[in-house]
Amino acid sequence: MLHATSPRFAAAGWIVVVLCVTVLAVGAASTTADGIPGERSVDIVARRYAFDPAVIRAERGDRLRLRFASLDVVHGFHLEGYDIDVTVEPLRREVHVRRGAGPLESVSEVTFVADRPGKFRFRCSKTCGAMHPFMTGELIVGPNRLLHGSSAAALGLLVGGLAWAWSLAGREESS
Amino acid sequence: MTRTPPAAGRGLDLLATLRPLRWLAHQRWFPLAVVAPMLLVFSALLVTGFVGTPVGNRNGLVVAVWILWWFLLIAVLVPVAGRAWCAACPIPIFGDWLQRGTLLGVRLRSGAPGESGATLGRNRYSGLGRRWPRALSNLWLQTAGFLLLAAFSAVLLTSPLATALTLAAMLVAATVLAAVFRQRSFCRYLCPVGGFLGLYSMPAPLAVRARDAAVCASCRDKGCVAGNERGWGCPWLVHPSRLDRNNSCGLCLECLRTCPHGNMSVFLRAPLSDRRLAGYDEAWKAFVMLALALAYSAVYLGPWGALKDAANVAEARDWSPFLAYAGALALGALVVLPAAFLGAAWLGRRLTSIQSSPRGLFLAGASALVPFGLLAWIAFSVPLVFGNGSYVLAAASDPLGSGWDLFGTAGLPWTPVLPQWIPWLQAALVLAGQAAAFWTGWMESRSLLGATRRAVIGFAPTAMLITGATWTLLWLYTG
Repeated sequence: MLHATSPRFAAAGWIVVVLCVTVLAVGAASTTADGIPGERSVDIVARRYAFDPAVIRAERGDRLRLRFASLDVVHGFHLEGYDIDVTVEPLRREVHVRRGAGPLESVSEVTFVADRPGKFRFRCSKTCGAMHPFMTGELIVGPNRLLHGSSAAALGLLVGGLAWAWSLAGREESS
Repeated sequence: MTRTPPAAGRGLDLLATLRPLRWLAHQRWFPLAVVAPMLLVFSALLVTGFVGTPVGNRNGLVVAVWILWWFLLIAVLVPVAGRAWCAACPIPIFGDWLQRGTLLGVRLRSGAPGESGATLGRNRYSGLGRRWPRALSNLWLQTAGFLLLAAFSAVLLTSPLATALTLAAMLVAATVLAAVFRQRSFCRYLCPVGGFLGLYSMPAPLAVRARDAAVCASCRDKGCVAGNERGWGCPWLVHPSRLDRNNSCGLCLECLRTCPHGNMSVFLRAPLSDRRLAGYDEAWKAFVMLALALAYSAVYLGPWGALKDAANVAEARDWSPFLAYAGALALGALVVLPAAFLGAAWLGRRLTSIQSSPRGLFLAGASALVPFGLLAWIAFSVPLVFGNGSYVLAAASDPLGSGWDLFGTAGLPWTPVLPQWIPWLQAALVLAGQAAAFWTGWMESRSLLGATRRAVIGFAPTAMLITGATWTLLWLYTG
């Protein structure tokens, strides 16, 4: 069982401290790393079971203009985190878009401001075949604080964990 | 029957604390009361797989098994209750019935000459009752079977017919093998699910153990192994009195009923209590599971269409990319990952100047992959259920895809749940896995090299490798 004096308790304390310090440090650092917002146009081609490009990169504040085409069947494009859902039909440049609970609109391109940093998956939202649930792509809006913070936390766990084990072993050796 | 008082050091004795649970655990009908409803659901789902719509995300079998069951199993049941699923699994029920000749009762041998069937201990079984070959009494077959199924995962995950055929084949195999081999040989040595359930049951806080080892040592009855009028000898082919790891215990609780001293119980202990890997078969199982978690995270959650095309051999019908994909999967799981950990163990041994073989450090490093792999699988499974959970509600109303609307949810549109939080949750799970891996690996290294700084140095290369694997998962989920 867990007692306040047990190594397991001390290890848990170390882990919490290391995680908090590294995440806060990297989070604070990355908030000052924004670039200058611009405008980016991306032509997205959907086919069973992939989007091309599969990864869209942007900086926070960029205005993205997305145009769509489908090579085979009707596909969806649901952008997580931004709640944008697009229906793309083959041989048609015009798409249907719904933002959140808003009305369905017919547009030739979908524009939005990438104002949330991080990684957001876009997924096909219209059943298009066997692998449909796995038809995904990624919008990566920099700075990716979660990746930076969690990577630093992983490194912190390694260094902090070994340092903790080293000091504990030293105390046990000397006693 | 007297009851041994709870022993210290085992954790909280649940049966001593919760009297209704103790009463329930001692009832002969209790396992059947759990399995019978499961068998009904299993049968209905099998039918759904065979006759329902071939569209995977609209078929009741596919969404029930690969979204609902899988998530509950890997993210809830296994981390908390280890192999508890094995106690509810309907697949071996016909084999058990065939062997025992009864669903509820107990058959004892009469001792008469020419007595039919197989006698093991005091129980009498139907069937040949052969011993499972000693050379195969390990996880290698289960690992190979799982890897083979894993290579065809894209077909299994998306095709109701493939899922139904696989489950039906497991049912037939469990029944046929029960007619030839003794007790739960299929579950112990062949079931591809049982292999990873056993391994990942180790960190679970729930465990069946003897209350007092001294009581078992002085016991003449040995009902837990030999069976008696109260129950069958351990169906899982283990000595319950000697249980010190969760791996092979199917939580059927038969030993609770057969123990004449009331010395067996269910304990709640600190997580990560079982750490020791018994051999290379378990180590390789840990490697295969981690490699698959990494590979699946890339194939199913990643944006790379070429990987999905390669895995999706049933639809693409292009065998060359599939063979390359399956080959890479096998090579990574069976050779590359183990070689990396063997190298880390060798380096740890060099740095600590110990003279023994690197086996101990290698197994200590592999033991760290048990909680790490489990949490990696949970992290992989989170988007499957958060992203595709709404398919379960739709399929519940129309499991066959034939236009029914039983609960008014058939027309529910696809609705991902909290998608913006999924990467955060995944990152937290992966980091928790890294921390649990460090704890497990370091404790194993300590038990090998003593509570010394040598143990820290010996484990350091493995810790760096685990950090590399952590970063790879973080990059796949958040990068």
